[in-house]
Amino acid sequence: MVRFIIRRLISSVLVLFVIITASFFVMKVAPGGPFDADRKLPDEVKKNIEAKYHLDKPLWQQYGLQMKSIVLHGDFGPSMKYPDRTVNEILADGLPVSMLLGVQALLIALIIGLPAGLISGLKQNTMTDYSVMTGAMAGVSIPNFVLGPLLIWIFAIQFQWFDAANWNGLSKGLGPHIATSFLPSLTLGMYFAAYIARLTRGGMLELIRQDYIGTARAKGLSEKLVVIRHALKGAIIPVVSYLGPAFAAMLTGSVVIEKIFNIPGLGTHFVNSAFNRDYPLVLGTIVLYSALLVLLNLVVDVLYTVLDPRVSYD
Amino acid sequence: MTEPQNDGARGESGAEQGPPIKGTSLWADAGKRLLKNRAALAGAIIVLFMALCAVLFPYIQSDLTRFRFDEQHLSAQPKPVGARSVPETFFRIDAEMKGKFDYIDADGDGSIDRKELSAAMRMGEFNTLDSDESGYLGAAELADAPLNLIKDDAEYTLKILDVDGDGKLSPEEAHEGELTDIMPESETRFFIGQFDKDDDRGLSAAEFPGLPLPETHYFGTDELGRDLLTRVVMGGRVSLLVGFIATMVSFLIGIIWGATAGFYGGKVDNLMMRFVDVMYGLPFMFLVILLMVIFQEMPADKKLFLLFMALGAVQWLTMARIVRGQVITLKGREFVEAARAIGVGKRIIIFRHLIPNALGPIIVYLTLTVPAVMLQEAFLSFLGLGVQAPYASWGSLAAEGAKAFREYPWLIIFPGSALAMTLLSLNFFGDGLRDALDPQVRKD
Amino acid sequence: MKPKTLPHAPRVALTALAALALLTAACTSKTDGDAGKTGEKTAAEKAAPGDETTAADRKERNPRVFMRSLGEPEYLDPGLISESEGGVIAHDTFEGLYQYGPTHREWVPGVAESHEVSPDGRTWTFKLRKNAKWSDGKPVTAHDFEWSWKRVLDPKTASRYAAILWVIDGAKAYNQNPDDAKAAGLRDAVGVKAVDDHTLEVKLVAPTPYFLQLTAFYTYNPVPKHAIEQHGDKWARPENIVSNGPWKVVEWSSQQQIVAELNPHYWDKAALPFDKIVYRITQENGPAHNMYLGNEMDYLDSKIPPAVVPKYTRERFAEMKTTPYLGVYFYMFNTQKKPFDDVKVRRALNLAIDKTKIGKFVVKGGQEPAYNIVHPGLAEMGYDVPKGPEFDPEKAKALLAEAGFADPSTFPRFQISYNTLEGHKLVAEYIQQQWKKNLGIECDLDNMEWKVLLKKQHERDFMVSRSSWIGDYLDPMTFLDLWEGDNPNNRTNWAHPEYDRLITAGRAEADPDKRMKLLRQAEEIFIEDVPAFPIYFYVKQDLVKPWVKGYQPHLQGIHMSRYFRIEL
Repeated sequence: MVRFIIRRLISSVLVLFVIITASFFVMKVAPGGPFDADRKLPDEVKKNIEAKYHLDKPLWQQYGLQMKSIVLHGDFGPSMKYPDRTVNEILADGLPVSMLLGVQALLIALIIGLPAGLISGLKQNTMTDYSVMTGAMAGVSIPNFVLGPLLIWIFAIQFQWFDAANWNGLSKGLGPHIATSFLPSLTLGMYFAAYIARLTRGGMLELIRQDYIGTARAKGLSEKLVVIRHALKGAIIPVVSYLGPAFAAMLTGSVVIEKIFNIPGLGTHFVNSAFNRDYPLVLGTIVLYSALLVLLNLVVDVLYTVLDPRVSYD
Repeated sequence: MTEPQNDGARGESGAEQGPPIKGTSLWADAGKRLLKNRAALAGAIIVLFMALCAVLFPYIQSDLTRFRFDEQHLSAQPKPVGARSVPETFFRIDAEMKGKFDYIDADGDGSIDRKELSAAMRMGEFNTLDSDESGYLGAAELADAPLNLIKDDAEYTLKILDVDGDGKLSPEEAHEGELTDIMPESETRFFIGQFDKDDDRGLSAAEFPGLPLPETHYFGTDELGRDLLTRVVMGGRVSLLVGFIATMVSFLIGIIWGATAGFYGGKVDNLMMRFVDVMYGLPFMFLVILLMVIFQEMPADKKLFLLFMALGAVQWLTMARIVRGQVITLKGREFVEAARAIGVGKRIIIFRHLIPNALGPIIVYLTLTVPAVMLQEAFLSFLGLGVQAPYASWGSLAAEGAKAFREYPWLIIFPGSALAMTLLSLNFFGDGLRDALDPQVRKD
Repeated sequence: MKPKTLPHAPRVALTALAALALLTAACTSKTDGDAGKTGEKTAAEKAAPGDETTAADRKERNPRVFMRSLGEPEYLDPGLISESEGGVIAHDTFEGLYQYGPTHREWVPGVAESHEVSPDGRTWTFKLRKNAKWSDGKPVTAHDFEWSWKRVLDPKTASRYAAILWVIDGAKAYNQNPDDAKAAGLRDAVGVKAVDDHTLEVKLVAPTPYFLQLTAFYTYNPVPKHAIEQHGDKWARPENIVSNGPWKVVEWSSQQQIVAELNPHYWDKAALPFDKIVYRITQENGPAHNMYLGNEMDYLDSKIPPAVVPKYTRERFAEMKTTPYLGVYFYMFNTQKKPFDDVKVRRALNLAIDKTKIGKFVVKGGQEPAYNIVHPGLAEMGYDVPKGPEFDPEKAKALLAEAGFADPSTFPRFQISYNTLEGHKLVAEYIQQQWKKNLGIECDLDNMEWKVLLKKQHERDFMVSRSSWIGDYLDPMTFLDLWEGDNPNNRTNWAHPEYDRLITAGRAEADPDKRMKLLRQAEEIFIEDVPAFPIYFYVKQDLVKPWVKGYQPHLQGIHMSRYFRIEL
């Protein structure tokens, strides 16, 4: 197991390296540059600016400089859109917010999704099953840019339970934090809750008719024990394998949520940096995002072996 | 084709199983079970209905809604549900009005010009709204009229539009308030031009065919006064196409990749799944911009094709993972060993035994991929890589509607419901299909 | 508390969806009921048009704090700013020789007390006030201006807006100089000189009647040499910044807010209406508008979601101010691509568009249709604005026939290129329909990302494309020098020798009347030749709370915080 993890970590570094390299070059192919604006800069001025950011150097040299800075110092350099801030500072500002939003959304998704899926799976083809699954279906069928404004309209404007926008953060206390963060977390989490409910139910159904469940039943274990000991564990496997990509999708999904709710997270930079051709910031967000993903996938794979002893990587 | 064939390996489970059955009878059996599942059946019917609408779109446009999807009936605000306009191309004619020529020709010069035509239509609409024929619109009549003010109550509308403060709306006030102008002068040119044989920009008594009939916008109109029903039907074409084709693409790539990786395991698995990791690590947005770069000069129809590929290419990753996960769990099962022992080739094991067994979760995932793809298409359209205006998809219509959903709720309700309903139906159908394919479900 | 703005249509349709959401929220709702701020914030959501704001809302307000909307600025260094967000901050926190007035008709002395212009209009001498100070107490002198302007022009500073200083003698040469060896000499040759601590002498390339206005522009603001030498590139971060305006930035929470507080050393601080300015940062108009309705903002600076504008207009919502704004929206032809190389085709396409409908029905902000390129508001500056031809589909058809396209189906299919944005899309769709309806010409819409469109325009890789221009100063020149053959922002491939001659002559002309006549002649050529056709003139739409006084229309859309007051 340890060897497996070490091997995976080494290959992860390789993966990251490939991603940085590919991103760097693809980014440079994209039409337009960071300093193209509606008003064309006089060529000389543009040259001066490009010299400042080493954009006048040959591509491989730019790549070398960038890699050196990233590998040796973990530094992505100054942003080209916000020149007196470094990419590291910008990411450090946004990451905690996005992470918190993501974690809250994931929690909501699990709290709603797992029980819903389990109940639905156990009571297959009953009214409960149908209504839960219809709800889950609705969850994946409503785009988050529709759900968000809808929730704002209902809970912030009609009932006035929560704030319509902004982000207070935990530093302002739990109450104010929930006031601003519950609706966005719910909006973000709903889709995944629905997804998890379906996966859980699917996994349950698969498992329930597996041999060992039958054996367990035959042995006279109570239905509750069967569910808890075996079916639940098995049903979680597809959910666990989904968590990695789910978290990744959440980071992207938060782009929309952060816009709707005016949240100062990473999502904004994720999209805008690409549109602005802010090369260092693009690279920074991609690397951060990829690193998170690679790590999460590793965790998921390890969990996999723990949950299903028949899967082994050695 | 599914587990029952390998009953030898599963004998000990003690589940009641029929004798080995041939593939065809399995599917026929599944079909029967599917027909019994009412939710799945309803889903299938709704999806078929949507698909039918999409196919019949040209006829719906010309004979049902009578509005072309791109014809604009401009107004200061989108027209609400039930508002009327005169179609530009597919209009019907009220020939009875031919007799009212002298009345319509207000200046008596023997020719109906654009102004007179517009005024006649306006008056007609006013009379339609004026149900008590008092010559004025009161609050009660406004309550029934298709209005478009934020406060959707007649009293308020009356207060806003009633310039002279007499508590009722005269035809002039109604016109000013954009309640009756169903054929503004700028929209009369085409109608007059079509019947104006002597080209004098007016219709003589001989040329005058009668007045065109206003048609109702059953779903209201969008920002540019285009009939939303027509556009929703047209949007369905694009959305369904994107959903199905992109899902198929992801299905094909994902299943081959995942099954291979999971089955061979070891170095192959590692290499293949690291590749998937790398692809996951490339954020979706990035892929989109990449495509924008490379295929900048493509004509619009090819861009649509590209869209299918792009969406499929994103979705196959998860598909591959799920298949691989299934294969890894199934690999350890006895029947694979058994098959190997009797010398069945690897390829046959993958495609004959492993894939069919992994089908359940895959179908679940497929049914979830279609909505995901349709949603991503909306995101893409939003960014400018999707369908080119004036075409639209459900997703792009809903994305636009979401921006103003408090003011003009119909802009999101109709395309949003069409999208949600279709996705819901697809999901129910997919579930039903899965249950039907897996006979074990019956006993639970 | 009961909201009045509840149209019944959505109520019915949303109930089903609401039920689902309710289920999930039911468990948490109670804990949030006591979340202090929630009630206060959303209470004002009901302050929709027509509703009275409650007395309680007003009492809670500190009238010495002003809250206004903003987008995220790039940075706060006035010498480097190139976008309006940074400009708003710079106008409140820095002060040039002169400053913008409450309306565009007034210019108010800033650091300068007075100025003199030489008879040839080329030498300007500014007398600086002696009590002007930086926020750290150091005096602001003429040397600061000389140093700051030269800093902007220094090629190494790489200021994106440096070209606006090129009216100064020798500025262009220094700014464009690639050769380090020559730099010192060119720097000394720049026509700005501190005669003594309180006298600044500026030599211009040509008589420039609008130079006074330019001295208020943020690129001309002084920057603190001592702070820049101490902190380098990071000097304009809130923890380091030293400024000379009424307020000083003390906090910048990225994507949330910027806070500026009174500059204790400001020479005129007794006259200032606020102790603190809070700039609420939002990216999108929707949240900004919500915050305004929630009384978290006193002044919503043009960030109104387009969808609510017609509603507010129709309801005659008193808080909405619609004022002309010095900008023009236009479509360009690539005049070297067939068939747009034929002036008849260009004229026909222009004539076939009913522009009167656009302001009310398409962009829906009440924008005036544009038949010429110079904003009509500049008539106030003594410019006799010419008017181009109006909508005339018959004439358009005739012109098209003359150009050889009597049968419109033979007209080559072309693309309208525009960038992804709702407003641009609507205009493009409208124009596409107009050409189809009025001329029978078919074209495709080609929607692309902003930077891609810019690249295509800069490389002249388009047929017809949208663009717009916002005037930098109140003079027709700001709209007209754009169309000179060698102007980098003229992307039409159109170069007209006579036009260029008239503009050059106008630039050198010291007599205002003659100058305006030359410019008008030039614009007539533009209208005749249609390298681009104007569509509408911009308007600016703001929301101002009833307790905020002092809002006045400003053609350049500059509303400095110092001209507002809060009266509860």
